[in-house]
Amino acid sequence: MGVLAWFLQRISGVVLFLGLVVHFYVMHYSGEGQIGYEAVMARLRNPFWITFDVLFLVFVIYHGFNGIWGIVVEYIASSTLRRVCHRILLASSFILLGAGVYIVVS
Amino acid sequence: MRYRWHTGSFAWLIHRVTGIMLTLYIFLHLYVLSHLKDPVGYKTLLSLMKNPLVILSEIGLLSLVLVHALNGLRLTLLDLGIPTKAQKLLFLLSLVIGVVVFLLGSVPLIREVL
Repeated sequence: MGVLAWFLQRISGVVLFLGLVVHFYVMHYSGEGQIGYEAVMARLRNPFWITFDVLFLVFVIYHGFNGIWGIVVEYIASSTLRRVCHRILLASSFILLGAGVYIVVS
Repeated sequence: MRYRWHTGSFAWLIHRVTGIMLTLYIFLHLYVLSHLKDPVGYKTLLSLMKNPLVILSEIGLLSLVLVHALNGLRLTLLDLGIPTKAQKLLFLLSLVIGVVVFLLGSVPLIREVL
């Protein structure tokens, strides 16, 4: 992993830590009604939560797949196999990102 | 690549395994959320959340998240140059925080099936 990837992994990690605290609090501790259908739909119409959800998604996908890429680089020596893994990881991230953004904004 | 097995390399291995599992969980999480918009499907999902097996896996998820997040925070602090003398204290601190948050999170979950 390059210096930038290493640095961004730390930054995104700290952001995810804070985001997860908010996510868990809202979902599980802010009251029984907060995960009801109406409350969830209301949040999905609110620009703040739309932004939060999309950013959270971007950070989590980056962090997860960048992390797996770091593992690939460390354990896989063959450059062909690495390239294959890189494509699979990149494709998976974009599919997940597309699906996630679609769920949030549709 | 070979490792010398110290506590630190064990923590690295745990960090990787939990990281891969959490990344795979994004697929499951988004798949479940894709049924969000349909009110009937949503009610079915919510009732599924009372299933003891689902609750057990949620507790498992909470532990994965806690181990990964606290260890990641520990790694970041060490990268930032926290003196190695503080390592033991840091480990103890994350252990205590981990156990407290785990109990705070899993006790209400278990109560739902009781």
